Amino acid sequence: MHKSPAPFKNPAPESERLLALVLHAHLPECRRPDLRESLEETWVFEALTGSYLPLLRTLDGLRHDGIFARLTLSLSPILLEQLRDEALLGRYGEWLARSERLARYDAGRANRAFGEIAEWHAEFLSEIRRMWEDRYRRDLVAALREHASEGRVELATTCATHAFLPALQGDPAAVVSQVCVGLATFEEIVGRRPAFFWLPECGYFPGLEDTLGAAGVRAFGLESHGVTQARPPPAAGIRTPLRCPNGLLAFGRDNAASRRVWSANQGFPGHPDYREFHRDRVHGLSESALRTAAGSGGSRLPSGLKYWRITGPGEQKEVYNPRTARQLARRHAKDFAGDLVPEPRPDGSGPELTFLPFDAELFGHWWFEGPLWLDALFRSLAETPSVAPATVTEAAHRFDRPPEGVPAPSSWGPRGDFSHWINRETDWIYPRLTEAGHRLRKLLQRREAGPKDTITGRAIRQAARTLLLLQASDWPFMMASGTTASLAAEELNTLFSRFDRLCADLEADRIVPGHLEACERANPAFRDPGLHHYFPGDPPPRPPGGRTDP
Amino acid sequence: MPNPTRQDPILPAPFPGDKNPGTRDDAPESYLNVVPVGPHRLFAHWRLTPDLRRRTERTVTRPAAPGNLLIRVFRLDHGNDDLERAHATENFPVDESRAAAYFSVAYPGGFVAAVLGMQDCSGRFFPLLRAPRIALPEAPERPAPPPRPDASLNEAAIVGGADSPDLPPELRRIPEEPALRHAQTASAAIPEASGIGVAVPNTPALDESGVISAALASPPDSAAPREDPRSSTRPAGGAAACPVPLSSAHLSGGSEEEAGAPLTLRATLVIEGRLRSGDRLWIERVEPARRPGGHFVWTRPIGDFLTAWNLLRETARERPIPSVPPPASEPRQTQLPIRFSVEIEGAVRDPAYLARLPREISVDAAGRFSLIQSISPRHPAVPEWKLDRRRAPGARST
Repeated sequence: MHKSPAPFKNPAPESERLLALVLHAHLPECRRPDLRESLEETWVFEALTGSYLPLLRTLDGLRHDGIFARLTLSLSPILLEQLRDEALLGRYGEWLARSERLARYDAGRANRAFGEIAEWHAEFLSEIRRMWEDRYRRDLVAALREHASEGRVELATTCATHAFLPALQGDPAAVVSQVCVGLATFEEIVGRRPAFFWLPECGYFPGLEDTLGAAGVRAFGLESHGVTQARPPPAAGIRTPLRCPNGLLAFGRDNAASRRVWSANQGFPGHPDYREFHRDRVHGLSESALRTAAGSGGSRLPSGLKYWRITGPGEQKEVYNPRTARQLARRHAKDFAGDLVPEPRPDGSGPELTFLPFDAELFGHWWFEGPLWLDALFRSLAETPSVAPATVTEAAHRFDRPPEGVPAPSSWGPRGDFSHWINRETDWIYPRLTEAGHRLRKLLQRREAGPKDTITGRAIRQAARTLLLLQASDWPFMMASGTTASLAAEELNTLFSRFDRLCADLEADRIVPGHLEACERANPAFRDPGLHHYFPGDPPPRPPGGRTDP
Repeated sequence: MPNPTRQDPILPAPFPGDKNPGTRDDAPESYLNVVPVGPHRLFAHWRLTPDLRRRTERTVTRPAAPGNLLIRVFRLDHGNDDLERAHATENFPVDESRAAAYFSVAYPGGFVAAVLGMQDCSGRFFPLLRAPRIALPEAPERPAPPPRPDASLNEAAIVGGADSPDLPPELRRIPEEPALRHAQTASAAIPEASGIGVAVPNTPALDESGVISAALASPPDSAAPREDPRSSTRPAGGAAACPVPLSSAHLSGGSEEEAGAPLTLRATLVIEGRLRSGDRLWIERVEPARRPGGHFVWTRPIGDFLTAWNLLRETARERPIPSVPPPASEPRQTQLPIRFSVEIEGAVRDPAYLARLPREISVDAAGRFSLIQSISPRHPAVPEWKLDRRRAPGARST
């Protein structure tokens, strides 16, 4: 039995509009202990530096100033696993130090304009480093738990490796495994079960809510048409959550509001005065300068130092001005808060919902000023009584009788369907996943998994772990997006090779300890990879009453 | 026309003496898995073990015609898992040399289940494998804004990037780098995640001034109703699978680039298949990249609207009838490890243009439609290609 989600204090004040902001923090398995440094691990470092730590700093600042703030923060299990990996965190410290050295090198050599911005970045990194080491003692989760216990943040999670569940519809055991291993891992690390579950890519298909409900989840989020095109479509659209037949609540994204925050063409982050993302300082340095500046090695991996502002669509970029950007972020936040104020409605109409889910990495990593904007947003909302931020669960409490219906199968992909993950670039993955699932199931049919510490037990669990990693939605996403396609394909092929080798060794009863140990070192996530979900004959968890169809 | 499903066993029956032919310890399992892709589109993959196929052929009452595998898609009502109560079916011939394929169903959205089976010369269907029921995704009535920024940074290329000269006393500007924020993947057949309906290169945008009017001005086919070549049963009146009545609100949306076009089309030529070790294939004298297992996919957008439009009209009519073998003059695709097809996707934004679509095409709530159709290797749209197969003793190259 799992622990029930804790009751929340301070139900949302009686405001006419509730802003349920959800930030979803996720990165795929990035650890490369075999390499001195790697691009994948740099993604973790940049996310920590640009997003996660600044978001924590924002929350700390709001707490310090007594500003009412509420948001829901989803942390993917695979990300949580990495954030407790001491070796990875040690390498983060080295990367931070190297980036700071590079910034100070620039500050000492460049002309005035670049010198100032380099100095500013050096100070920024220094502050990040102090927060990381001294304030949070390398434990983000503990700091977030503190905010959660004070009601400011509702912590949530998602599938174990962020699998795109509609693509796994044909294999219910795979869906159950992703959901349940995800929840169990979250509970192990954070200490409680979440009420809200982030569906990867907002990918939903009818019946999925039964699996979520059986696992103790109470709510999930969808792309807007998942709610507006439900059966029957709710009259209020996305302004209230939708109650599924099994009692779970589905929240529909507010597209119009989302567009303002994040649109490549129309949203705030594209403003010319915000920091340019794509141009990293290391791109402009020679090898020798890099070695001198950053210390031995002279890595050309991203440093996180971006001295330029967007300026315009062309190649010419001007020097970034942090003060201008900060003022702009505050103005944008105030504008946004103003736009949320609802039109007057008849008394007793009940609240309106604005559900805004975003990738957490958009705030700070992609959009550097994002955390500043969030801080300013909450401060503006504190002066806007008709709009109140709320966690998802708090918002849910305010809707006594939400409309009922079955959501529409949907995603937040470019077309609202599943084609971004299932297409000509990626379809080769799915037959191999299906066959991998069959192979694992067959292994479990033939033998008992045995205790974890036997070599057979370890090998079977490692195979299950590898299968979870293979199911991640990141791989097809990267392949379809095109830019890191070869990296994703390489990672997939590596994982398939490991899986196939493990299964072949198990089938032949000749497990090679060296290979097994190497796999365990390379892919250590998930102490319990949920073997029992793959036992043939076990149906997916059913809600009370045994109903499976919506 | 009687519903053919009433005469045939719907569910695969176990063979005598073998309760579950797919799970013998010493053989890989047979399976059929169908994955929903879009409102009209499915991706199916399967494994049909030789053992299962042999045992099925022994029970088929008449000698089965070559190339007789097909996937039958059953359209189900909400909440119904019973194939006998399906209100429509569609048959899709399956290339026996392949283990995966895309299919485009006639009506968008809703629930479908699929059965892989064999059809004998009389048209009787023998089911072999069944896939679980799935829900086809809905199209939003208005496209959603992208949740992520244009993540088109080619970090790997930058990491492996070029030298720069030493810094002068003041910092130098970065040398030219690609316009990453607005980069398009030229070979992609499907729009990038960064934008809804962002035009890919060679997307045929509608030219209302002349070409399209001329194309659409040709009269529709003659009034005599034609047998639906897909041998599908029509849905009953009022069934959920019928296209949603469209209003202008439903036809809004699309990218800024396509905002003004009442009708857009995107056609892609697809050549795909699986090559054995030793086989070599050239398409326009270039060998396509192979994926694990020898699979390959080669795609090319078809450049102009008129060509795409004519292809749409041609292919919408020319669905194969499963019981009719292909003409002897055409190379039988079942003998080749490669398959040639066109994928046509489009959107109708002006209701006035709906009447011009081939009648076999239906649109979803966003006015979009999709069609996948095999074409002959000798179709004019197919570029020069050459296949050199690994030689068996005494065999010649193809």
